[in-house]
Amino acid sequence: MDEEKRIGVFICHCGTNIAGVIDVKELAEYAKTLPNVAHAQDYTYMCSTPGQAMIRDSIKEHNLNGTVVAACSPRLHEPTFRKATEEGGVNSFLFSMANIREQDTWVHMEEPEKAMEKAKDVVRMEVARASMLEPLTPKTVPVEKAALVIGAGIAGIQASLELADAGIKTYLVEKEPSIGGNMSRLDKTFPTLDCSQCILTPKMVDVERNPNIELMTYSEVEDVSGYIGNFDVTIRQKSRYVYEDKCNGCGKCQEVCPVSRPNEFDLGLMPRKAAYVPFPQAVPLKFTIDMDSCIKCDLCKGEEACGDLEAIDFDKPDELTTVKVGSIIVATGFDMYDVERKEEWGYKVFDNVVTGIEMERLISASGPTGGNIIRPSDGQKPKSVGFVLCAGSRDQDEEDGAKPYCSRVCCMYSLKHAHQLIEKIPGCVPYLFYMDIRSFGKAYEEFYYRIQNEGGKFIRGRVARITEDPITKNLTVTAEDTLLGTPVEMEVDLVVLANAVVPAESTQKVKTLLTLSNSPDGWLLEAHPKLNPMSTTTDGVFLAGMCQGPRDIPDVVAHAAAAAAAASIPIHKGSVTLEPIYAIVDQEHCGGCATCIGVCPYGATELNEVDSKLVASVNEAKCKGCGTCGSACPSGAIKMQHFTNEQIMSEIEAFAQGW
Amino acid sequence: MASEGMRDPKHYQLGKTQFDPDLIKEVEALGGKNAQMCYQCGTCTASCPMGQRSGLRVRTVMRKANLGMRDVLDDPDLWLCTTCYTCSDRCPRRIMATDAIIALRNIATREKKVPMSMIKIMGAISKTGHGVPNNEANMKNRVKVGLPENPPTTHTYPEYIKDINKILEVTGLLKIREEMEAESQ
Repeated sequence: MDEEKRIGVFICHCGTNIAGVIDVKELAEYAKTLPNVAHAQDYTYMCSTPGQAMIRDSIKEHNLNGTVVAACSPRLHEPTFRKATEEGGVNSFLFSMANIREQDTWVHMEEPEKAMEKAKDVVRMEVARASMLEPLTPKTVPVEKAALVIGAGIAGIQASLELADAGIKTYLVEKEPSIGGNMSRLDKTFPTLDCSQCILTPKMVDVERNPNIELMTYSEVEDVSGYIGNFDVTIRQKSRYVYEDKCNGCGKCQEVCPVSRPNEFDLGLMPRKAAYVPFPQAVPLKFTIDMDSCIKCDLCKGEEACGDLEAIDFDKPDELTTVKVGSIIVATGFDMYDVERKEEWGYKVFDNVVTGIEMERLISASGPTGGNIIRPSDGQKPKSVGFVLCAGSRDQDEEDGAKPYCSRVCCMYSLKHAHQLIEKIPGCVPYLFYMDIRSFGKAYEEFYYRIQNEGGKFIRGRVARITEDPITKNLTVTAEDTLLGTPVEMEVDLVVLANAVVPAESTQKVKTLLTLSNSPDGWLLEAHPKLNPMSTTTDGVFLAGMCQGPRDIPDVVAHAAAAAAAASIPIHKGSVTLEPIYAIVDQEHCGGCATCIGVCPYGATELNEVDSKLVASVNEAKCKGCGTCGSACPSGAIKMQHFTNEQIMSEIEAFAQGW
Repeated sequence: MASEGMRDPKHYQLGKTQFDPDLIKEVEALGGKNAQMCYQCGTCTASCPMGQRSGLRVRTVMRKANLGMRDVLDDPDLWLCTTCYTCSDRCPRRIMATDAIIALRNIATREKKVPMSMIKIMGAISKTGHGVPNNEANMKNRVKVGLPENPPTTHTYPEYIKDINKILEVTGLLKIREEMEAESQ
């Protein structure tokens, strides 16, 4: 610090973004008058190759030992100018960025004089800060060559297969007894009409057979500690009360089990036993005993059932396993909106109002009706079916728990249902009540055309009310045909509510464990909505599929593959470089009060005994440099590197000099 | 076997209007190619030169035809289309809306819903072979530009008017005209 400070200030025009509002020449001249400034100049585009060369060469020419670039936001070009500073032979953390675009000339373009004043303030503050900066060195930590994938729907399955094929040991954790997720419930997939199970089960089998994948079903992530490259994950394998290594999937336990309860997989449309697999193609094909409904009659253990296999043990406990992984992919999927809350549509009040996913089970050959589409009230084939699109989507009604976003799959699956009705029930007419038909994907608009051509009827208007004839159980759908401006009352045999998708409830726990955020709509927040939709703000944690937002199967698969590629980068590199912007505890001054432990949002602070005294320490890899602990520390023992009290105070003082 | 409560899809109420799913099939059979594929973009209405000067809204006609609202047949605007085919040329779904309108006019005529003004035009055709016969002013103008007083149509060859009446008879139009004129008196 004793060395004389020689700061170079570089003012960017950013075309006319900055230079069109303020006089950049004047700003450069002003900068020259500031203390410690040895050089100042302006240029059209500082981020361009000649602009960077200007910084590099000026450092050498003017013997600079610190730089300030007044331009856009650090989020955009801090890395660029750090690098240019380093190329000039100065530690890259001796550079500071003055934002005179987003926070100045863009927002004050109507008041150029005030914008100029503000630009001077900002430059003066950053010069003061640059005079106080200290050289820092990034840290490098090794990365564990393994990954964790949470959730084994199509997203988790795809991500795991990609990681495993790239030679990475992958732990795939699924909370249900089988992998497959919501996709295994679907009958056919739009717009190709591929059988969902037929394209999914080969992947499920691949997961089971892949030597790099360790599949943990009926399991939940209990705890996560560590940081990118070195996560320690504790997984609870819930007891199936069946030894997986002994169970051969013969199903005799299920045959003899006297208990009957609704099968969750079929949304309660079909019963299952207390000893069960959720569906015939389950992976792994291992039976589970639902202890909440088991009456412990022991029939399943008897000679005619499990017998000598001795796979069943009512006392088998949960098991906790700890694994070490380098990166984590979250693929926790979605739930369906509880459309019962929309009382005007009569779901669960009227027999013949069903949801889209229930319709999937009614159409599915493996479903409760063997693929015969019948209406619940009397088992008859419906001749006219009303579809209510945007059932809970594009709806700001928070009281009903409705969602403001478009669920992105309902238009298309309703079109598909319409096709299947026309195909399976001669003379059946589907009526789709819609606000817009959003058929945006490859071959989707063509699919919409096809269904209209097959006889699907489209009525543009949102359904306001459904009523039931108590005798016939037929339904009257009320909407406006907005294209005619005419109210419509249509009597139909069956109504399908194309209900919204919502973030899975189980995501909440994972979100907390991994310190993730969500966007206002409840879906997990990505690092950047356009340029980094598969990463999160927690380094080493990635997102795959619906947990980040509504998307259909092709988009889920692409997203999952992207997440796998991103998650494999640190693993294949073998090490990660950590920003040296983290908190440091001066253990001599630390009183061990643990205030910092409570306030840290990243779980980076911990209390340890050093020389028989409790003191705090900060995990450099987990720390995000937010500074919360530093400001909360009552003894001032925590120093935020690169944002020290002295550095911040120097900025404030420099700001005050302008008054 | 359908339960008693099951309804024939032919009998849907649309507001207070009867909804007939067969109407659009009829329109297509009578030449309104692809009519059921209309997705209501409105290019037709916006293209229609007559729509700019009258109440004719091609999109609304197509919508009503598609829903099977038979009251579209009573709509006098149906008869304002000049059959210029601009809407058909510009239709993104390659629907011949003009032909659909002609088909609807045919159905309307068969059901005696054709306006009396059209019946009068039919009378002129029956009498002269022209919906709008030649007149004195027109004749003067023709002579002025060096044309014969009458064009080379039934005005020049009146012996063909009887053949035109044969067409009117075979298509049933003469009978419809007679009946409608009798009813209106």
